[in-house]
Amino acid sequence: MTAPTDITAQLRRAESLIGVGRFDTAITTLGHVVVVAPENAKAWCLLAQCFGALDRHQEMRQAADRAIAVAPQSEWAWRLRSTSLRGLGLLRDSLEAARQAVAIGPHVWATHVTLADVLLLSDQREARKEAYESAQRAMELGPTVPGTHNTMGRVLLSIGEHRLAEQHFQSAIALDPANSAAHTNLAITDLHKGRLTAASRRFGEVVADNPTVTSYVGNVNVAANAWIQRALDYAWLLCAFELLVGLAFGFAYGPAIALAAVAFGAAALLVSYRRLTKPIRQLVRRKARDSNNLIAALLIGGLLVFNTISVAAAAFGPDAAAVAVGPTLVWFVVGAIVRFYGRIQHATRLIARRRRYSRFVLGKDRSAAVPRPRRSSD
Amino acid sequence: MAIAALFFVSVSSPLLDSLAAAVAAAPDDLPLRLHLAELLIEADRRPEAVGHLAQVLVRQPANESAQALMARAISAATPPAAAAPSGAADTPSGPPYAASGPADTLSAPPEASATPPQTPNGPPTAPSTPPPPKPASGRPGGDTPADFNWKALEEDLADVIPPRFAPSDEGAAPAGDDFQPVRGDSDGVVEVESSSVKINDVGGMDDVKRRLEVAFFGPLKNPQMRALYGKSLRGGLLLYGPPGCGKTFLARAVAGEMGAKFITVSIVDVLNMWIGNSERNLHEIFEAARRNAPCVLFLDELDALGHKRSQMTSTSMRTIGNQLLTELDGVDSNNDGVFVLAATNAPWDVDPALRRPGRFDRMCLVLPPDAKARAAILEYHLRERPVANIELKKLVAATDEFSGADLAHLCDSAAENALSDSIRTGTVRMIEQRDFDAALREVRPTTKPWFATARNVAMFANEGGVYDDLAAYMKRNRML
Repeated sequence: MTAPTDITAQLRRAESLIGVGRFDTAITTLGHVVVVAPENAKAWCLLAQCFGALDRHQEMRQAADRAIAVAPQSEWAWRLRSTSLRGLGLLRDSLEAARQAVAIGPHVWATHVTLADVLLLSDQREARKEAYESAQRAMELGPTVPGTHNTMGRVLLSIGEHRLAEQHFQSAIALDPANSAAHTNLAITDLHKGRLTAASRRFGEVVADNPTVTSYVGNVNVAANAWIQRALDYAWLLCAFELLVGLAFGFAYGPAIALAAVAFGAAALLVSYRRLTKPIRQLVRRKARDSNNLIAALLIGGLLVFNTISVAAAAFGPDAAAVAVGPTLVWFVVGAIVRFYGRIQHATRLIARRRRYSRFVLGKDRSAAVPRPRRSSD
Repeated sequence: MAIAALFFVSVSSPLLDSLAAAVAAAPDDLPLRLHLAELLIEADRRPEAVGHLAQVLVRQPANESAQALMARAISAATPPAAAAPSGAADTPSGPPYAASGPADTLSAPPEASATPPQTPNGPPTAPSTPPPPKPASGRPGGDTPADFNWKALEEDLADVIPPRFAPSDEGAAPAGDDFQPVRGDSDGVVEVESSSVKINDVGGMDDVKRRLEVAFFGPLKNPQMRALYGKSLRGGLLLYGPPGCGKTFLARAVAGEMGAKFITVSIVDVLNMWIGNSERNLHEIFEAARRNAPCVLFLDELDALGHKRSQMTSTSMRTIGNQLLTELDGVDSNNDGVFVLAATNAPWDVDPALRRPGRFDRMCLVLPPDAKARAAILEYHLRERPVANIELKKLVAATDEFSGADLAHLCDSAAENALSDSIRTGTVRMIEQRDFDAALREVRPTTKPWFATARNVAMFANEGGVYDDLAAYMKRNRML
């Protein structure tokens, strides 16, 4: 028989191990505890927490279920069950468990955060509204907890309110300057707002701090890809500018203006590239060699050269110009449609999302969603 | 244990004899043993009771009944000699006591090995007379009876159970690889080891050896040169690299090469349930290292002991990190002769404060063995196995990125293949190349996941060139 003090010691040890990310060792420790004291709900909850941290959702669910069997009134156990079910993709059950957690612990901010997390996975307007209300309640209960601000920020991001979301992420960072989740979310809002350099820098810093978290690494790749796509977009616009301006200014100044535009565009691209951090530049170089990006770059580069030749040809006579301009325009229009269709679609989706959710969720009075400035002593 | 129990119960008493026999038959029956101990105390056979209670406490250190009975047995074990039964007086320290070590958890232990328990030559002649109050001289016995320190004597007598491990003589060299335990705190002992492994026993790792020569051996072996150049021996070395590549072995070799004692510390040695005790454990470990100087103190898995404080949720772990910093700085103590080595698979999780000058200011990458080292490791693991026609070159070429542990596993798997084949066919055969070929299809290098993470580190967290050697290695091997 193991003495209660031993179990307490083991649990404290497991908590300390979890605190430093030693989940495997903690699982071993907790395994001994649940063998000798299967009635210990805390041990089962800690075990579920460890499995969750290792993305072992099935085992997490089993441990959470055991905890619930032992202590049905433990909101922690229900939260863990909800999280595990969410990880397994069983959203309906996850929502049910999250609601149960809230019913047991209505004054615990974490229960409301769990509920909001599940509700965010639904596309329904009512779910978003409920998520917003849960996040608001969590913030009321835990105003100095960065996690509650993060949740509110994510809810606002999901309804297209980027500016308000950004304020909440900044509040979370003010409360905990090393909060990786808040930094990541802030970088995502930067990305949505087109601030690619800032976003990529922030993503890079987060990965440097947490090199083992795959989602953070994925974000850096997204940022690098976004920069490449942006560069290609600008190159397309430069093509259009070159063509139109060159032809509009006629024979005398057209070629000079076109060449100046190309030089300006190239310089701007170089400056933007230099502003990226070294690792992101490295990543951009690597990604630029991907077949899709390479083909796009070749097409755009070819178009730029062709445009330049066309404009130059126009200087020597209207016949040459007619020969050059026709195919160029066709190429440009087709390319532009292909190139910008995705962009336009994305932008339309964002606007539609905002129109669909924002008014419904926030109502007319948006001031409730604005974070109040807080002092650290709050 | 059973013999020990019977040894005590020599005075005739039918009930006690029967119980003693029952205890001897079932030495793990603790309630029975407790009951016997209680009866022995009542029968004034306290030393025997102490032996039984010590056995209980070996198995269950937190057993409150045993602790209470032990307190009774011990407190009653120091009466005037005239009152003590002759049997008890005849057995002040016999063989059974030698096995009753953990009983030292009952009371705060004395300073480790500094003042070994002293047995008084004789009992006090007038115990009924209260001793005069004395300024604490700290030593039992005096020049005159008036100077006799009764309090110290009582403390000495209270410690009737000898330590689990005999305290070693100051300066006595331990034999070979034997452990030389040093009393730590009330929760255990710190194992101080003398390693016979030398740096030349480490295969390959030429770069690492060079770094160690510059950082440790050179300054240590040339004190005059060290003084001339003003080189300090402060600061530790952090070994990092994929798991199973010999970081611990290397640290042991450093200790062996320096002729220093070796103490290994991991998070499990330090953690304690009571707030503040973990810090005390850590302090005790450093104190043990200081007492045993020159000593190599090896902190295994430093990322756990000194995790980034910004990422820590547990306040208790945070304070352990702070304590580690204090001990490394040697604010309250002298760290001369204490060489701190640490190892980690995740240097990116180590608190940046630990990497400041004077702490772990030098980092050394311990990579998977190169071809030469792999050949040596394979030969080592096959030296006592029946092998025939093994193509070592082919094996070495096929095991790129394998760690030392992976190579050992590969040899085990090949042996297993040959063994199962021998059992199946009924013909004993040697381990052959085909067994290794089959094993190579199953065993994969475990270093790959580490390098996948290290790639992110080399790319994004190499500000200031901390991981330049890692980045260079990965570039060389087309991993970056």
